[in-house]
Amino acid sequence: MKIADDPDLIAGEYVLGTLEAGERTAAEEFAGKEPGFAAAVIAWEHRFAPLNDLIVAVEPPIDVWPKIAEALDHTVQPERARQAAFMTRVAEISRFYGANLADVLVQSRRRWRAAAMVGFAVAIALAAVLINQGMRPSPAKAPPSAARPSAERLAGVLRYPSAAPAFLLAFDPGERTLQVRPLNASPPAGSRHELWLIPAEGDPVSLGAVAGPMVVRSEALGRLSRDALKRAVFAISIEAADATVSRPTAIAFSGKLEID
Amino acid sequence: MSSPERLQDLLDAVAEGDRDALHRLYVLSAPRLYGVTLRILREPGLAQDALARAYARIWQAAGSFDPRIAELERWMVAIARQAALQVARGRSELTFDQTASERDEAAEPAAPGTISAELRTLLNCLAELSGDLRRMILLAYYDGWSREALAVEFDAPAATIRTWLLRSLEQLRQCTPR
Repeated sequence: MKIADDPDLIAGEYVLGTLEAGERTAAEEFAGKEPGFAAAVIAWEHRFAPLNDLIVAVEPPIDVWPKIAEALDHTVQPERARQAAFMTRVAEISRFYGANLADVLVQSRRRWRAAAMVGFAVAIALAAVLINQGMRPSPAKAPPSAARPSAERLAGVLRYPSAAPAFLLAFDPGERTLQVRPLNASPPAGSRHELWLIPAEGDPVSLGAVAGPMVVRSEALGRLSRDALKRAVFAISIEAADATVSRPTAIAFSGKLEID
Repeated sequence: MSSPERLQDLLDAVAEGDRDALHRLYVLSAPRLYGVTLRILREPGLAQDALARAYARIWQAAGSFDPRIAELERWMVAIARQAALQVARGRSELTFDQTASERDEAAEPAAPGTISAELRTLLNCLAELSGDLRRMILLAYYDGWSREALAVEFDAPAATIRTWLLRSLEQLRQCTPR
């Protein structure tokens, strides 16, 4: 079995958090139906759990609990007997097979088919990722372009200091367009992400709201020379959903373009 | 969260629909869980939203927690991590109002005074991975970095990152006792 199809390792990816949204959903549904996979998830949680010792506790603000209590009005507790029966099966599998959960998952044909379905879901999600790779600054460096130095693509990453990359930028010098791709960022409720071009000299220019992957064509981009573009800062600010702003209110992510 | 018996009693009451018990469980466990969601989301509003999802999930799933196969505290932290990841991947609607202004930098994990034998074992296993692979695993576990974020940081296609992660997981599976 290839490692990419090993359901036990997919359970590990789920616990680690590196499955894409579609794969996560598939894995959660599979865990709800297949006690062997649910047991594999628990085993991985157990393996990684010692790392939790190093997480620093932070007291949440006092107004959080009332909101949680209020939300419970809309949260139904499912029937216990059904859940308990499923978890008993998970417990039996965990105890009986111990470390060989991957074998449990592939033993019976039925389970194998179900496992293959997770593989399928992962494959679909991966295909989506590969299609999107077109947007990503290519990790394979472009061939030397000494003949046309001015046509070099520029790319950049916007992030919160010391945090994960949040937005990818790629500037196409031919089209003079800027491709924008959010990675892991969603704005707080009731607000939007606004993209800004902040030239080294002059005022910030809004390049519009970013709700998903987009291509920006803007006069402001076209006006700037290559060097000016490289000196400019690109930033994402958080603005109230319905507000019209002429300057960024709260900058959440920022970065610069570099030669790709 | 140092009194496991009491937490278990509270969870049993929660499973019976006792809201006061959930509140007491919250008081005991929320700082730990909030530390987890804040570390991943880095935005107090979003971290609080994830915290709320986590307790809604604990409320729903209290009846299915089985102390024979999991430890309660780990189970709750795992729920909080998955709630934060769900918010981070932008899968569903956000419900709370937040202000972006109050932005606390989530602290780096600090070394505790004593390291448990389990943690020492796991750290030894992680030490057997090469530096980049170990960093990838820790960035994913503590900070909720997606495959794509790792792809940017480590300058490799997302598919390659996935292969490296799977190999690391395979190695950890062999190294760590269940």
